[in-house]
Amino acid sequence: MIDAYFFDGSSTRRHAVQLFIHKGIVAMSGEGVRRSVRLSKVQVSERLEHAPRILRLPDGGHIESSDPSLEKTLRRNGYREPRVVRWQRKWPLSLCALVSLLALLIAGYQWGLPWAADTLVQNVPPAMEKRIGDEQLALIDAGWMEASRLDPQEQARLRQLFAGLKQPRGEQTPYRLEFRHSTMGPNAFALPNGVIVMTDQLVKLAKDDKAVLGVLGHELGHVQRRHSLRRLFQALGVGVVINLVVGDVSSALAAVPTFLLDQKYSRDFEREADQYAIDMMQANGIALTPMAELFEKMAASHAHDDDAEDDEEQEDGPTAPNGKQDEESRLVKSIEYLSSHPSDEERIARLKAADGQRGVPGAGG
Amino acid sequence: MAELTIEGATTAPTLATEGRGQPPPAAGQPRPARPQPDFDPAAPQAFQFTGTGSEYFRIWVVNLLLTILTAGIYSAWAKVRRLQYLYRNTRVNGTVFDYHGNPIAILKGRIVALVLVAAYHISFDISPVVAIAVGVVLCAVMPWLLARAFRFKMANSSYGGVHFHFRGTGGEAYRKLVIFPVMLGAIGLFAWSVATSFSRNPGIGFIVLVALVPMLALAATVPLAHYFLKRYQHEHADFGTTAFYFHGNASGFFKTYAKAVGFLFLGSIPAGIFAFLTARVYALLADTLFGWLFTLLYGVLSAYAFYLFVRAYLESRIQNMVWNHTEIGQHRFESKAGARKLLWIHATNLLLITFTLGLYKPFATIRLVRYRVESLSLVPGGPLEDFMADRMDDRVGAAGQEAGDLFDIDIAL
Repeated sequence: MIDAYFFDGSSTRRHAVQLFIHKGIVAMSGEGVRRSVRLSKVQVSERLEHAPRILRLPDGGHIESSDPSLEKTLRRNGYREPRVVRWQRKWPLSLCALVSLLALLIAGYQWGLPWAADTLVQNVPPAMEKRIGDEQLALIDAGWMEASRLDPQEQARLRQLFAGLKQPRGEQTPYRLEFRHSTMGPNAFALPNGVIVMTDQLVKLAKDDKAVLGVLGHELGHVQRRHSLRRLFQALGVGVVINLVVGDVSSALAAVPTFLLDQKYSRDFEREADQYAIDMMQANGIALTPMAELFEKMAASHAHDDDAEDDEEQEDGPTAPNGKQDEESRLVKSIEYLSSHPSDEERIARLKAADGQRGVPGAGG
Repeated sequence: MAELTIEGATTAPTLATEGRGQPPPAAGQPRPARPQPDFDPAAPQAFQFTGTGSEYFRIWVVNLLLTILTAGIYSAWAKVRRLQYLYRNTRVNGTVFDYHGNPIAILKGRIVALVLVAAYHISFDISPVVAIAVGVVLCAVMPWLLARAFRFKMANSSYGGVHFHFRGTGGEAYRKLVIFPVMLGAIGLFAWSVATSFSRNPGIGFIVLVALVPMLALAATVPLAHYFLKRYQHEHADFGTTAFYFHGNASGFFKTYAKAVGFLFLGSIPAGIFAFLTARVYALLADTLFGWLFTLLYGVLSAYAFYLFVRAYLESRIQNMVWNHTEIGQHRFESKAGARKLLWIHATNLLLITFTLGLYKPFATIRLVRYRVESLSLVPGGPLEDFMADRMDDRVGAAGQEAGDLFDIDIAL
């Protein structure tokens, strides 16, 4: 015998009833109520710890009961809880779900998302890549770039020099080299439309063609591997998953983990682009140490960021384009720089080591 | 999520109510209190919420895992389980609410919404003209989507076996909610003016004009739009055959919003003093190895502190204003949500979610829902008669609701 309340579905009047379930038949009796229904026609609500069970009858009436003996009676009459509900009810099982969830998220971050972004990028029409890149360039030009103050002959010489180099593995990656005077100091980056932007300040800081060519090789690596678009997709994926897990905790705050998680992808791409530069320079017998020294110089100039040799405006930088760690705003730049500091040392060491292996003398060649 | 429960949490007391001075049945007490013979019409019936964080956590984990494993398909079932959990754990006068949404209908709605979102994003890559056209179409269907969303939500909510209904038609939504496209236009103009004043250097007068006009337009439309939305929602709702009645007015919304903006300005004064006093400590910390993390967190948190403060204020005041001006039959509601308490809940939730890398989320949800539900009570206005069901079948598609959710037009306040 089970204590329950019956609602006939046509009013909210509550009828206290006694419930019997036997041989697949639900029967109830109370003041003015006497009914029986086949259990197979009754929709039984899922079990919750502190809420009553609701048995929905086919004609719209329903029974509410918190009686603990209801469980046993239901089970004896062949009612089976859905598997998901059993899963949710048991701590060990739901902790297993938690562990699987974490494993899934980590694996997705490590391999799944990069793979998905790569696959997606293969199917992006070139026209779309071009449009995105063109828009980014227009945005950057409007906000942070001025026309190059470099001698046109110097520009032409550098263009020719780089165009004369063999690309690694006989690749024929199309690109376009643009020079700009930046309001943000030495910088170079690649856009999805194959445009490589090099700032005058970087050319001046390099003082050495080999270093400039090395940086261009690095940027060409970004273009070849389509890092720009891949990173965009990966950041998007991370954002969607974080939103799914954390939910409505404002988007501003969800941007922080997205940003932090994006750092690893960024470093992976830098490493890949560095390797591309190493391959390309070695294929042409050019030393990499000058490029490593340029990185050292840039790292040093970032460390003294606030000493501000240049009093130019400190606007927010474009966030979309990728490349080295300094194309973004002052704030983001220093954050990103510091967070990728170990990788900076690592890449400089690797560039120098590449020369050692080949026996190319650091200064000559 | 909270508003879903509260939206659904419109109730019908039965003949029997608790006697005066008797405490309402304790939360967590599984068995509804027996009807009391002595009836007191003035005793307010407090809403109770019996859900617990630990139980909800397990549901959340399993939902999340299955949603990811099925590439989002399970999310429709997850939504039904989540809402059923929240509804069935909400009770007033010993009887619980229930949610009846059909997962298949919700899944269909989600697919429609996804297609709409995709169309919206792809159109941006095709051409600006197409993007604007799609944007205009989306704006044009928004009131209709809202009406559908309310209808689905209400038709699938019940209390004591009697269903809620939403009578609001699409046409009415257009008449009442025409202000939303105007608002969107103002926001667009505002964004455009910010973007252009960044890249060019026009005269100061131009900047003031182009930034101030949309700002004033927003100040005039946001409270009004919010008022119209709530009125549309509450005036067209039925519980069974009994209609809800909303007698709030727009001036209350304007006052609340004006106060919120005032607090924003006042709050910047102590914030400025604090920043000035701690400037040296800040510089010291920013120079350390993890200084970049510190500066990032500091920036985000200080911006968020303001948002949190204003959000808690608006949330509590508007919930109170809306429910204190809503009646059903001869009964009315009483809402006593406190801004300070809400601020505390939001702030601690945020911290705990951050430090547990999101694992606290389900506990946070339950805490918030519990507070918002339990700040509400029903005041019977005389002898209570039984609410009669409207047996008219009201099966509506989920398309509107889901599209509404995804586009975030289901305003949560």
